[in-house]
Amino acid sequence: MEGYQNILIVGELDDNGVSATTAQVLRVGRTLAEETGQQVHLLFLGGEMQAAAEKGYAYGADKVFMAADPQLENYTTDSYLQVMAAFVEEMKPAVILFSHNETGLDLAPRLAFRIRSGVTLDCVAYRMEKESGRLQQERPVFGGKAHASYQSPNEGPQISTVREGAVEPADCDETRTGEVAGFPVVLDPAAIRTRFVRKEKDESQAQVLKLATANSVVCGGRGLGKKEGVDLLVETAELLDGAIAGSRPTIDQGWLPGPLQIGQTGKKVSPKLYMAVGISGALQHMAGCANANTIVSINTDPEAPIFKMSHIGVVGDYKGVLAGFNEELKKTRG
Amino acid sequence: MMHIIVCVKMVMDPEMPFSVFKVDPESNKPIVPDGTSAVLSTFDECALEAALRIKDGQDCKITALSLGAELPKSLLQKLYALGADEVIGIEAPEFEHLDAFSTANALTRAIEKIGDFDLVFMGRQSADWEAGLVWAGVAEALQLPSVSLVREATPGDGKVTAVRCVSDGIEAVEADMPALLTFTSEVGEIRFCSLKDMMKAKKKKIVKWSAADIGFETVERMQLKTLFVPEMPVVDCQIIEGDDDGEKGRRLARALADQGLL
Repeated sequence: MEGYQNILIVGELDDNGVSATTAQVLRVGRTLAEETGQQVHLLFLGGEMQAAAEKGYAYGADKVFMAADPQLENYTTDSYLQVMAAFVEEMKPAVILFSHNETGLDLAPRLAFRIRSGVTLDCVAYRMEKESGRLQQERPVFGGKAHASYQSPNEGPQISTVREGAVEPADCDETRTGEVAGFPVVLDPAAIRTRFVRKEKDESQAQVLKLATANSVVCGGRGLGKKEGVDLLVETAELLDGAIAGSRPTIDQGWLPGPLQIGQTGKKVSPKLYMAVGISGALQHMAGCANANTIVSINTDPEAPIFKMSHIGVVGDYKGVLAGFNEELKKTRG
Repeated sequence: MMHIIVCVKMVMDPEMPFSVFKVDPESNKPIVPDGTSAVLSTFDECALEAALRIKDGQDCKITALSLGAELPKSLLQKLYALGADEVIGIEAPEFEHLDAFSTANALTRAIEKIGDFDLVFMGRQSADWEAGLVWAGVAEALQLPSVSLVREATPGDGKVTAVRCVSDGIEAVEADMPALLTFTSEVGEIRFCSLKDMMKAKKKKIVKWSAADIGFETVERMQLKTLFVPEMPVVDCQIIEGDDDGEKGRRLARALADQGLL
């Protein structure tokens, strides 16, 4: 691993500053940095320099960089890839970590193939192996039925994306400050073959935000039977001051918008209370809610696999069960 | 005529219950339970459906490409039944649980052998190993622009507009063609194919290539150190009884209140 040093985190800024998932990846970075006696470098890419980037120091970065250019305002593979490749060539990081979101799962693999480095996505655990000095990267496979541990034996940056919610965010120490170094952006226009056209925020924006922080989540599955079933979920969620969500079939059927999907390839949540309504318990779905404190399931099928993964279960038709449930909640609320 | 190459992997049924899934610790491979059959990988079906929707609206040739250790004839024929114009199967024992790096290399060689194309479609990740990497290896090797997490693709005028699913909505991205797109489940489910379609498909010729035909070479980029089944926490489920569903619901609410969960 000669010549390759330090843990590079590719982070993101949002309305709150350093994004929650970036803070999580920084925790992984910090741990690896302690283990190897190396530094954590944090890189942001965006349309313009932002003061918020400086907060990266508070979350544990030893150096914070920002590559800012109007052409990076919106993510496109080709432009971000060029900047990443240039940064990596100059800084030669031993490890590069991204959050496993729509940007990370696009940029990390293409970067890895561009520089011919190894990569694993959606990892839940990391370990620096002392003998080899190589990063052991562990990820769920086969819908979470198994875990696989990988390493890249060859020289070069070890690239990975971190599953959202796999680790807690790094501690924030406001006394840690520093300067954000600008990284020059040089883009070859001929090499940019993808262009951002427009973004449409889903009308479910408010619901998506609620889902990220709610203590209670009411999730509907195929067993809802029809789109109107969602109305009952909404009523229950409101009484719980919680969020609504859906498993993949409800999104595929168009009963709920995509951003509310919970599962292997959707959102991962860990609320105090998770109510699974008309959901069979396929592991691809459970991967999204396994960390919930209490899982309550309502299903007409007593043999549904979900009952083996729930703390509390009701065998029955959700329409009747939730009607009674909501009625009782309204009574006690007064 | 527009030419779309769709890469479709055949995998162990992802709906298989946890209880029958076993790992062979010697080989670091899953053990295929008796009596199970392979299926088309879910997100690759989405990719095929997206290609078929383009074909619904314009003259288009769809080449379905599948690579693996065992490609069941019925599944290859199903690709014809669903609407592929040509089905190419590359079967070789060395393709068993081939990792993403070698798979990307093999698909790249196969696509180069196929020749000219406008679009390459595949799922965002396979329904077995779920690496989510093959698309990037093929895109880099063929030097194609790419868009991932697509739910809808509209080609025209040398460009393709792809609607990409992001955490809070969608993004429309335009890419120059030829391009590679990966698809996610928001495409919706693959269309139904009738018994008649399957019967007609049986008469069509499946193109068979060997590993040597495509000049296959393994790529040593990552090592799988271990494959293991993590310990599942044992959950004791408390079933709430009641005379009718409404009663069960009311008791559920009281049980949750008692546990301080409301």
